[in-house]
Amino acid sequence: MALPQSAYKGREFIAVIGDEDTVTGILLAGVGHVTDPPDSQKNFLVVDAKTENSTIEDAFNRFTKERKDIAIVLINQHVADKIRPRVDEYKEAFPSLLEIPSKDHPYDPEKDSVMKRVRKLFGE
Amino acid sequence: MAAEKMSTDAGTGSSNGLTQLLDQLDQLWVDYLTFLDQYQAAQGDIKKQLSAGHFSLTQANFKSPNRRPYGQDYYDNRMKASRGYKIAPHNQDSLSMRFKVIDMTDSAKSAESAESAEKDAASEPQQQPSPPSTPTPDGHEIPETPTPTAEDNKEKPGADATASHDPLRWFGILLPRELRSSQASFRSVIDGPVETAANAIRGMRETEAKISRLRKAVRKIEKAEG
Repeated sequence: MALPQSAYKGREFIAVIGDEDTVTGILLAGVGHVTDPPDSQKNFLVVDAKTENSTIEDAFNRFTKERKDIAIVLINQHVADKIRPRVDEYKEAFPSLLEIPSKDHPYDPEKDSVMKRVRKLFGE
Repeated sequence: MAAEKMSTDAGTGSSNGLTQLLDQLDQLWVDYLTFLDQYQAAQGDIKKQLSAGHFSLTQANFKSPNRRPYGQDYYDNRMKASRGYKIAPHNQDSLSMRFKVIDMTDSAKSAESAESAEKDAASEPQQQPSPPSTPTPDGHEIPETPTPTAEDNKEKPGADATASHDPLRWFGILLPRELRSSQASFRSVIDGPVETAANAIRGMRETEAKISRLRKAVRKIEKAEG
């Protein structure tokens, strides 16, 4: 069944949730965007040891549900682990969710929500 | 005997239908595994490029003045994206969607220049043909001074827009080359494997839905026969 145009039209930005080096690097690529005042909404969140899980989850919900201009959400896998249930239950067509490695935490396909869906499909 | 023949024909018909469905299911599995392979390859590329980018960034941080790392302290809160993605149907008839990297500075620039050209054409008053010039007492005609056109004004904002969108500007003027090479690595991640991985995920989701529907149809036929 075809998706309505409203589901994907206008989605053009990349959001990133990660540690400072990952966010700095991705922003260097030119994807960082802050909307005009008074909203001044950022399309990134820098996560460090002091960042609460609720802050991460709020940003995740903002990028995936509230904002309609995000096409892809990049999230460090070790950050996704902090909100794993929320990430694993995410099933929307857009924005697309992609787990990426960080400098100190390599990619683990066992934890990747995409690969979990694959294993579930083969297991059915 | 006619009834027996009819039931045999019906059985053959339904088994043919089941065979067709199973063949379609097999093809969908092949498609799904192809997308899976693309996704895993893209993750491998993401890992390589991000490693290179992080390595260069670490080297740049080591060389930074006062050992201040190039990080969020430098971010410009007025930043605008120069790179993004466009989501569009894969083919004209297809129901599947795909991501494509777009340069947002170029599209914004061309859209703005097209709009401004239209506005200039619309707002400029219609010039009446000028009456013949009054001859001066000496008999010399006064030369016409050329007026600046919209074309001349277009070039300047474009160059400024490209320069202002470069995030390297946030970090100062004299930058280590490692920071530029880090930018190149992270750019290649966004332009290449992230697009491939996102498209593979999209393809897997669409194929998954088709597999699920087909499996239900197969189970229905098998139940009816069984």
